[in-house]
Amino acid sequence: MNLQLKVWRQQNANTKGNFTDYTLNEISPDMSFLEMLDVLNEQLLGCGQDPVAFDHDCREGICGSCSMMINGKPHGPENMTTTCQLHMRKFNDGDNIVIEPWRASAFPVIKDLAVNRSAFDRIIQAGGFISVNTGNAQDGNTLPIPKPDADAAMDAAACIGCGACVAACKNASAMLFTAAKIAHLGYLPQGQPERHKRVLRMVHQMDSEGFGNCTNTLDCEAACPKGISADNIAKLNQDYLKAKLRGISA
Amino acid sequence: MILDSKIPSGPIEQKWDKHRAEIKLINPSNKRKYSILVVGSGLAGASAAASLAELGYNVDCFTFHDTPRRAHSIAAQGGINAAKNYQNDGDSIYRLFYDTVKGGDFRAREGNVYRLAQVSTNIIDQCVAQGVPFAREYGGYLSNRSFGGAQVSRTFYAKGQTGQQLLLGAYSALSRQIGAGTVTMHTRSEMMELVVVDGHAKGIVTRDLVSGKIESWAGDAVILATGGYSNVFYLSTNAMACNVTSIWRAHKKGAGLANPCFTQIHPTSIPQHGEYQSKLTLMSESLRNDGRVWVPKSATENRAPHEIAEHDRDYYLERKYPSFGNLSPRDIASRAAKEVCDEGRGVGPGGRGVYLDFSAAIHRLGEKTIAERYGNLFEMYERITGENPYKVPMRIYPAPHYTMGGLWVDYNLMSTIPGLHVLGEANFSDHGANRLGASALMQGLADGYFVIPYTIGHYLATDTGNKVGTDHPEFKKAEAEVQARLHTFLSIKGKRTTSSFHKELGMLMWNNCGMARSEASLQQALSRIPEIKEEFWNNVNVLGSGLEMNSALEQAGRVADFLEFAELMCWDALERDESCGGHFRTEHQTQDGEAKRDDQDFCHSAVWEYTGTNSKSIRHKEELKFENIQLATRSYK
Amino acid sequence: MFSLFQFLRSTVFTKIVMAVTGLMIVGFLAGHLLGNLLMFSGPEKINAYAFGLKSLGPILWIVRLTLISALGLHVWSSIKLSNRNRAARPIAYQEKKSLKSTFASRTMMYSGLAILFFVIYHLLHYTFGLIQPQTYFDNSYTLKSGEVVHNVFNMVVAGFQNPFIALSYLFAIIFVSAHISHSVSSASRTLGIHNPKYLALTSRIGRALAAIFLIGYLSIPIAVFSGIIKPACDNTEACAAMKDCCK
Repeated sequence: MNLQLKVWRQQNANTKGNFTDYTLNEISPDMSFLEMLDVLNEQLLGCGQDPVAFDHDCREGICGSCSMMINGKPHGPENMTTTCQLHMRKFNDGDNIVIEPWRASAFPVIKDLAVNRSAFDRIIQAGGFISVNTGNAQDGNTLPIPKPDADAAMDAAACIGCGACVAACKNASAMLFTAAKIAHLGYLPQGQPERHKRVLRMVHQMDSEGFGNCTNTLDCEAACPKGISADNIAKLNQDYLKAKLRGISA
Repeated sequence: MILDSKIPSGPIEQKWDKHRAEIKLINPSNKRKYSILVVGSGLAGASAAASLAELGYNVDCFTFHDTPRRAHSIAAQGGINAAKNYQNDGDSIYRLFYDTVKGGDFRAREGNVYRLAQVSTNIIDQCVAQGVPFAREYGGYLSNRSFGGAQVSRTFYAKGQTGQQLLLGAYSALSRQIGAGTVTMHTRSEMMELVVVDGHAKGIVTRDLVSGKIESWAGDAVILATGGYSNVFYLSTNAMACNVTSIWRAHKKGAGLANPCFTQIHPTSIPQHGEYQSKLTLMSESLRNDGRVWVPKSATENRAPHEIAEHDRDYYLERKYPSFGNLSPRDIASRAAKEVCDEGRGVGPGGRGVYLDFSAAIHRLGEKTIAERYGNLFEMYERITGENPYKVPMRIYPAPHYTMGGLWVDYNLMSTIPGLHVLGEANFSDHGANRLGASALMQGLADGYFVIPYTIGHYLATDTGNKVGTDHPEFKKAEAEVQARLHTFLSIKGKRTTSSFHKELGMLMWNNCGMARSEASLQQALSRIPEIKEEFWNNVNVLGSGLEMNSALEQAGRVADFLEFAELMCWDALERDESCGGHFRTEHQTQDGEAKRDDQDFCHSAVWEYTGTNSKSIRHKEELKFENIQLATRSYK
Repeated sequence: MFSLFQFLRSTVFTKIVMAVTGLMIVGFLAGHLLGNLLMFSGPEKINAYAFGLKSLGPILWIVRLTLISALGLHVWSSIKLSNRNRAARPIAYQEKKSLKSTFASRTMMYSGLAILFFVIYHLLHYTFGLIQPQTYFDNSYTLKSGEVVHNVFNMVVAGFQNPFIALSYLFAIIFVSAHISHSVSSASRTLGIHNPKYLALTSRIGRALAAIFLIGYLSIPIAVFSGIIKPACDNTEACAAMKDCCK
């Protein structure tokens, strides 16, 4: 199949970017989206042009590296699918494809389609953990955890930290990312001792990073390649309110 | 090269306790005076960095990813083994030890493996405490499954994302330390060179992948936890960036590299579907619990799978290995698939594939149960292939997946360069010639959480060397070497891209040093690799500059190292004139095509010493002694 | 480490302020609608009701001040948050699809702004009598109890007989309805209801309220405009100026 691409090119964080058009011919429908970009890059290298920079690694939908807005949707048209797992058979011959980086002031562009998502790391560093040193632990079966709680924790913990939620949100809010971690640890008995401090600290960090706020439009959960529910955001809000009503300080 | 494994004396059950009691400690208030450089932030790296920081050391951790949470440990699906015996089915530390040694085809060190089995139970406890959401039974207790050919249920899992959850557990522990300021994290930072001063590892040189800046970092010890080298085959189930560079650089600085030919080919990957393909995707081995593997009996078969009658199908694993059947170990299942495809009975485009059929299981258990067990894997398969595995049997084919070889380490996980410690897949220690399913996660975390925190203290307490800073001439020299290399890549201005060289090398290695190797194929590879290398250094095309994000430049460095490493791998495969585990020499097989070990001549680890660009490396031996398990032919019939 | 000041600065807290004040306003709208529907029971009922409200004295002022502060906080929090949101995405996408969000949920700021202007206009119209002063100031009604009160009934009829005014109300109510359709479930989420069952219920309640408000509030201008509600005949000048007076 033949495609028209419109790709965001930006030399580095300090320069202005713009869109460049490319034509690609004879793309196999069995290729993944990133393999299609590999073809583009080989083509660019062949004519002495700078290849398109994009983050990618595992190419099996779990590392969370890949991050691009494809035709106005994070990770492209297929639901519950990361860019690397998106295949060209989902497109048609002659399609125009617009490819942009995640756009958020908290995710500055590094080059082309690669953005800096270390704001997410700092949110986790602020409290997205259980404070247990190596060697502290008791036997794993000492604390039975009801299966529904363990399952709910697992569903929230499936977050791959790709940032599609921020990209999809009209406010560039990181609430789904933050809430997923708070819900994951909040469903588990091990997470209780630090539950309230955690939410206060993580929300504080999230706000300091310059993300927008949540207006509950739910575009985030629709964009999430792991299907994490925005109900977790409500859980975060509840934890936050409780922490405040109990006068807990972080 | 002196290879002292430093295995403590005494009964195997007491070796680790005895060792811990004897090794030197560092006073808590002195720990902060030591700085440790950890390269890699996967299971082994992140767990080590976090645990060492908790103890009070100053830790710097480096990853070439944008965040430590992306390391390829994240992609492990199936689970993690631990000798908990929660299922009351006869498991024990000894049995896990035994299974691992036997599974590794008697090419691993008993002492290390026993310790691995011992600490396996602590890993589960630690991860549960961190909030890793392992699968639970309705009573609230931890659930287990049988995995990868084990006859007991000792595998703990978190849906099909166990690696992800364990990595995020280690990442959370690491993040806690970063937040507390005890670990300094360096992201998008690739290790380019190891710095050795007076025979001790004292630092590394890195390249900032965004700014291109070359920087030196000095420390009292260096830990490499940089994973395996399956990408020497280009197409593998490893992530795109996985590479051999850090261990190869260390090898060139004097670290012994052990058993590079021990590579694992995983039997259940989605077959390759085109020339352009960039990687292979693994389907969890757990699928073999309910799926039946078959090919048509006739090579001329061209009907659709559901039209092929039962008596025209060959369930070859069940036929050849009646007691283990579809759950035969990885190397055996992989080779059996290759065999039937070589006979022309393979299915799918190109004939390199076998069916993994769930119709019997769906009939027996219902589609709902199968969807509960494997739903996410089925979806993934459909996403990639466009075929619905509930209706059409999956097609699978073996793919390079894990490398058992790596830098040689002693019982303290220290390489032949004092101060250089190597953890996880990057070392060679525990899996011998073949790794059992669900053991990679176990080893990575064992090394990081429960071994290195003890043993590194011993090194630091006994190290008599002086502290050096990055102003030491060795650092300047290493930096200059790195700069020169990068400059060379950029100035060749040839015609071919780095990935075309990588593909060419990968294809050669897969055909000649892959699932089956022979003297002829290896000789052929050994004559061809230098030619590819020669062309690479004269005709590679790397655009742009070194002072920006430049993925082609990053790749060039990695491919250059793969080209050198591949040669050593072939030498190792050639000189190991026996078949064992994942290393299958066609000259050495039994009448029915099983691997034939030669314990007389090859019951050792081969450790290679680098002697310079133009001279052949020297092969040393570390003899393996089996005092607790009797050497036996591995049989899964 | 965390002072009250920081609490006030947090986006989550600001959202809570917005949710609580929003729900107060929704409550007021429900009460206001019930009162307004008395238009269908004729002048006696609604005029007596309006008179009753006015004679509450200080209580009325407490309610009014509470509502004004709620509105003020609601507006303040929305300005604060939307400024932040604009800053969070300085460069817009070339192409951006909406996935699950409703049109109403994406345009809360605009519908809110429209409603704010309408509220001011509405107050000027019926509370301060500045839009149609003739129907406001010289317009009285004698209750059956003999008390002479303000003729709210005729004032409203006079207003809605004007096609421009009726039309402006029509648009305003559509904005209110759109705003409400997202607000109930959104506020519930912000206040921490996270059980999927209850969340589904709150979004049904939100949509139901939006529909009730739309029908309820619009029924009055429509009834007036189509002549179903006719002015109360009192032979005043104001009455005489209206369509259908004393017919």
